[in-house]
Amino acid sequence: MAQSNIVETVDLEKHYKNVVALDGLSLAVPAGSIYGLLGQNGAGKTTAIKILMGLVRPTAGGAAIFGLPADQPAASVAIRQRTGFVSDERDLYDFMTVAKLIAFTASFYPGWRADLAARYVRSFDLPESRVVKALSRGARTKLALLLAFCRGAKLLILDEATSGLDPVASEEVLQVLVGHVANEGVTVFFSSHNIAEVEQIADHVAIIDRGRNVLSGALDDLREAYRRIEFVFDGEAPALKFHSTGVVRMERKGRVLSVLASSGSEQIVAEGRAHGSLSAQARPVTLKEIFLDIASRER
Amino acid sequence: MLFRPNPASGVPIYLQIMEQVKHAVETGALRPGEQLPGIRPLAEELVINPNTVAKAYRELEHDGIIELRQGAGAFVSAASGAQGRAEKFRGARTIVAAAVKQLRARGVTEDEIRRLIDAELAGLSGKGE
Amino acid sequence: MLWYKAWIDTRWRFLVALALLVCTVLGNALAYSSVDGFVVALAAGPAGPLADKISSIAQLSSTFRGFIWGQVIRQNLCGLWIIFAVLLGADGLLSRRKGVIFTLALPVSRRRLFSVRAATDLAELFLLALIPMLLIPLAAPAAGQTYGVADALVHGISIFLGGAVFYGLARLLATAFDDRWRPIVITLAVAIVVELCKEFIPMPAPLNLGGVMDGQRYFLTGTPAWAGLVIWYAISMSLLYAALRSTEMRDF
Repeated sequence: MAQSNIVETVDLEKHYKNVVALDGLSLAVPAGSIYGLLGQNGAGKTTAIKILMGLVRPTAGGAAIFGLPADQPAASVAIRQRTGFVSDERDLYDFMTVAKLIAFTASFYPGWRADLAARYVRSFDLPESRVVKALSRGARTKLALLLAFCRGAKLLILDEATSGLDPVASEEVLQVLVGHVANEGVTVFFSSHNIAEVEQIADHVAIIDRGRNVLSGALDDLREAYRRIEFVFDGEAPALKFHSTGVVRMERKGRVLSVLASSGSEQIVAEGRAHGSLSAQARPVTLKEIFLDIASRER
Repeated sequence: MLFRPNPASGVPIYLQIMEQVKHAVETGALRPGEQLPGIRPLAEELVINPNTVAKAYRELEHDGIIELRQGAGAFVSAASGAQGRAEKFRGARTIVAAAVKQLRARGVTEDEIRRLIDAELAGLSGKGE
Repeated sequence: MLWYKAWIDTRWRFLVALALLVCTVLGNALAYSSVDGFVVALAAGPAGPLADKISSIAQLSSTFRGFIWGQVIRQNLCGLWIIFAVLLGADGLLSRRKGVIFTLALPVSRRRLFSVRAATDLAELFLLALIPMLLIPLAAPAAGQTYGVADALVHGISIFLGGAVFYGLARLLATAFDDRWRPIVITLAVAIVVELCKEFIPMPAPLNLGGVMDGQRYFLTGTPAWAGLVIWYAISMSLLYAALRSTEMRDF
C-alpha cells in the first residue's frame, strides 16, 4: 500500500442477507486531497464509510487508513483517534447541551483544538446552552462538523455533509471545510450525491455504482480527457466502429453522430473525419454528464 | 477580487483561474509587481479546493506571468512587459473585432476568415520590396 | 467521560428504583406491628392445602426476621429488583438507538464501552440490593423490632449475586434483538418461571435460583448457599461475556 495514500480499499466486499452493498470496491485517497465519493442513493457510499470507521466488518477485501487495517479493533481505535467523522444521520447525543457535548467529545482527544472550537462556535452561531435535540437541522450539521474538525484529526470523513441544508447553509459549510483544509492541511474523504458540490471542491473523485468503483481519478485529469464530440454527416450518420479505445458511448440522431470519449479525442476526431464527416466539434464534458451516463449505462 | 469559477462548465477550475489572472494582467487590472491574493484566503473566498488555487498559481509561474516568493506570496511578474503588451493588445483586439464583424455581416465563414488572414500574413512576409 | 455518560444514561432509572425499593421495604417493615395481629388471626382459620400455605406464611410472620424474609425479601424485594435488573440490562450503551453511531466513532474500543457500562450497571444493581436491606436494621427499632446487620448484608449480597443472571440474560438478548421489548419480556418470563419453581417445585439448592437469590438456606440454617451464589454469578458473567462478544462482532 502506497505511503502517500491516506485511505486505501482493495476489493472491498460487503454482503448482507439479501443485498450486496459492496462488490469489490477499490480506491485510493492521496494525502492532502479532497476526495469526493459520488454515487446514487444505495450505491454503497455509506457502507464503505462505515467499514472505514470500524462500524461494519467487511465480508471480504481490505481497507486501510494511515496504513492501519480498518477491520481490526485495536487498529480501528488508533484510526479513529486521528479521524474526524460526520455520519449521514448526524448522530449526536440529543439530550446533552451543545457545550456539554463539545466538552464530552474533547475529553477523548488529547489533540483537541479548543481555539478552533471557540472560533467555530462563534462563526456557526451555535447556542451553547441549548440541548442538541432542539437544534435546527443546519445547526445540528454544523455542530457535527465542529466536533469533527476540532479533534486534531488528519483525516475527515464526511457522509453527505450538506444534505438537508439550504443553499446558504450549504455554502457556509463548504466554506468552513475549505478554510479548514487550507489552514490545517487535512485530507478530506466525503461522499455526496450532489454533483455540483463535488465539482466545486474535490480534486479527486470516484463514482461508485452498485458497490463498485466505476470511474475514479484526479478531477482535472477527467475534465481534460473527457470530451463530447459531435460529427455532422451529409445524410444519415453511419454507425462507425472507432478503433480508439476511449469511446464510451455513441448516439446517432439523424445526421449527427455524438460520441462521448474518455480519452483520445483527437484520434476520434481524425477517424470521424476520415469517414467523411462534414464537421467535428469537441467540447468539454461536465461531471454531471459523466455521472448520468454511467448511471444510465448500468440500467 | 477574482470571480467565482464555474465548476460545472467542464473546464478545469485551475484553468479558469489562470484565465482570469491572465485577463486581469492584459487589461491592466493587475499591474506588474502587484500582489495576488494568497492561496488560502482565495480558496476560502471562492469556496474551492486550495490545491486547485495552488495548481493555478504554479502554472502561472511556469508561464512567467507571476512570481511566487517564498513566505511573501504571489506577485505579477515585472519582467514580462505586461503593461505595454496590455495596451498593445487592447488596440489590436478592437481592430480584429471590427474586421471579423464586418466579414461575418458579408456571410464569410469562420474557416474562410482564417484562410484570408493566413493568406494575408503569408503575402506580407513574401512582399519584401 | 464514559463513566459520566453511563451514569447520566441510567441515573433516573436507578434513582426511581432506589426510591421505590426503599419505600416498599421500609413501608412493609414499619407496618409489621399491624401485620402481627392480623397474621395470628389468619393462622386460626380453616384447614386445606391453600390454608396450609397461608398458615405457613403466617407462621413465618410471627417473627420479625421471618416476616422480613417471607414477605419483604422473598415477595417484594426480589421481584422488584429483578424487574430493574432486566430494565437496566435490556438498555445498553450500544443497543440500537440514537447516539450509538457517535459513540462507536469515538476512539474507544467496543470492549471498553461495554465494560464501563456493565460495571456501572452492576454497581447500581449492587446498591439497589444493599441499600434497602441495610435500612432495615436502622428502621426496625421504629417498629419496635431488631434486625441483624449480618442478615441484611447476606441477603443483600445474595440478591445481587444470584439475581445478576437476569441482568446478564437481558443484556445478551439485547444484543440479539433490535427492539427493546423482546429482551425485557423474555427475561421477565424466565424470572416468572424461576419464581414459580421456587414456590411449587422443590429443587436441590444450587439449581433453585429463586432460593439462592432470596437466601433461603441462610434463613433456615444460618449458612449462606455459597456454591449456588458463586455458580449463578459465574453464569451471569458468562452471559455478559457472550453479550460483549456479540457486541464486538456486530455491524452497526
